Amino acid sequence: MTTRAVGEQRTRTRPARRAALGAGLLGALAVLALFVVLSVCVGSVSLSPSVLLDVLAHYDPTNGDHLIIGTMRVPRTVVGLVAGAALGLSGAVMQGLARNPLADPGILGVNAGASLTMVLGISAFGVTAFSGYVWFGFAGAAAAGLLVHRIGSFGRDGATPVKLALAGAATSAALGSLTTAILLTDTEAFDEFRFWQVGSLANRELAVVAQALPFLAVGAAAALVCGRLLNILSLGGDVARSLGVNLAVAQGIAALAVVALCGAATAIAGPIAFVGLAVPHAARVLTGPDHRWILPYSMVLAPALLLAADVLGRVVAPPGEVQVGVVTAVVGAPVLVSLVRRRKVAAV
Amino acid sequence: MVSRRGFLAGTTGAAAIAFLAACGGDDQGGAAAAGRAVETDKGPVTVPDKATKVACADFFGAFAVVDLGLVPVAVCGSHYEDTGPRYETTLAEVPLVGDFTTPDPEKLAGTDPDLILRTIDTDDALYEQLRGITPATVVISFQQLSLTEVATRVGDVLGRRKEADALLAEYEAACEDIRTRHADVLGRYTFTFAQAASDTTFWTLGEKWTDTKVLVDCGVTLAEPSASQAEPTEEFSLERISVLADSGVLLIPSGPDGVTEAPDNKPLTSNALWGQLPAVTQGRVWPVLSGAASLGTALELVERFDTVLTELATKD
Repeated sequence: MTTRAVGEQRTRTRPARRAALGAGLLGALAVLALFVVLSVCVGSVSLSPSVLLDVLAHYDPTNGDHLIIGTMRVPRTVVGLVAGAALGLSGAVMQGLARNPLADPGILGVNAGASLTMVLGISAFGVTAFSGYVWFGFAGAAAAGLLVHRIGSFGRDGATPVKLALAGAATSAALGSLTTAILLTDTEAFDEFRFWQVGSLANRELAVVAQALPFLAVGAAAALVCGRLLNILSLGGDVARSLGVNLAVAQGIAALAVVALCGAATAIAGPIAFVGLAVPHAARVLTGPDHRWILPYSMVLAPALLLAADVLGRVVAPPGEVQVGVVTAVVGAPVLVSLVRRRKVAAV
Repeated sequence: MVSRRGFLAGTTGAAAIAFLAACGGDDQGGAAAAGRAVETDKGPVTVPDKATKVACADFFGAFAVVDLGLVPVAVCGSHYEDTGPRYETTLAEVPLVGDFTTPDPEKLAGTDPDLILRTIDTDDALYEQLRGITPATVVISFQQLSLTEVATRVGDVLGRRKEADALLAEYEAACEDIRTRHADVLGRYTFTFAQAASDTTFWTLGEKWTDTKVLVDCGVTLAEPSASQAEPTEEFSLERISVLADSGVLLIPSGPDGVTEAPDNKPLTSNALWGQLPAVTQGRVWPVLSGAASLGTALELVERFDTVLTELATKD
């Protein structure tokens, strides 16, 4: 086949592939919408979709069913949507940035940083309200992420994937030790911390989500513009430089997205495992290696997975609930193994 | 006539037997001579006739010991300074020798107790460690006992049965007094004691729960679902708070001051559905002391409940 013929075929197939990927994204949105409805209707008290429509049409704050939807299920669904989208996006960016398929939001020390500062907030400053200590978590996540990026940037070759991963692992270990040391000597801090540590969507105030929204918006915007940059970075630093990419700026934008998204999601919902790791892999299986598609797919599929896990956690052990962080850890591990076994993980 | 050799052999042998008996019978012989055998979860144990240096090897036993007029030489856990006027001044300064459920044997041994009291289930390894400190180690799990049984059993163990009987009489008289003076409001309302169990669930406390048993002793009629629950606690999702709608009065756990709500109960009472309950809208919610572990702590609850019923009567 001549070069011209190949070019003509690409011209014909690209729009078709784009249309297929666009349709797939719409399908993912439909799946997400389904889990949103389930998240609002399924729980200890089963409510039909007609009650949801009734709530949307005329909310009655004296009606018990309306209160369940309005004050409990809608807030946790919103938290699931926001935290899930942030985790999915940040995981995809992190795997692209680190060129490491096992990268997840914990690798830059974000979870460890958030945990340490939250424990300090509870233990040293006596903060007990969730709306108070969430900011300690966010500050810690951001500080740890920046610290890891700074440590990983030492040396002539800047922040290489391996150096970032090593800096993240070392920082996580150090911060985790400090957190454990404080918790072992402060039982009150431990009691407060253990509920957040598991990761949950329940009893999170929408006001906290509203406070975190600017960070989430900045992070999402930075992540979504990273698609092309991540594609180029995946070719290696030298190729990226030869294509005119300023590596420091590109990595800085990607790191900003990761810290903002991951920090906000972790502060709101606690450290939730596997969503940021598994969903980008699933998205990559569906879309191929193009980050311009991986990112939006991850942003839609991750909240769908998180809400599905939350709904499952509500019904699996009545009358109690299994926190979403436990469900994602239990369900996520075999799903990831299955993905890896069924198909060789696409190159990052 | 006994020869000199025979005399020496005989006295040496007798001395040796006496020495060996003293060494080998340390955990029975010496104590048996000046003690009593009491029944424990680990079988009969010989204890001093009247123990004076009692170490409490978990959190819950200290209250029952103080109730009988004895200050322990060691306690486990923390926050004794927040345990109310009857106990805080007595227990706040007692050396801590472990956490709520697990004693530190080394620290415990340093207090040189003549009796160790353990009131929760205890594995054999820990039991043997404690027996190494003193053979008078008594394990009686309070979990299977009523508070009146707690008082009498601990009274028997400490050699203070008379004090236990007096406390029991005081408790029964206090309950009888409540039943008589507040018969009217007690007859008009049903009650539920509810508390947050997690950030998504709450418990109703049934009659087998010690605090609820004290309330029932005071003449309370429990509302459903507490009235018919078989277990001490029944867990419900916060989405099902409406199961409390039949209750005329709602009782919730208080903080250490006995009158303000415990902070960790907020997931229950800050829920919007809680605000819809008839008892809540009509202002019939009271925080009361919870976690009664002895008749003395039960008397504190009785005293608080007296105040609650007096306030309830004025609301009508």
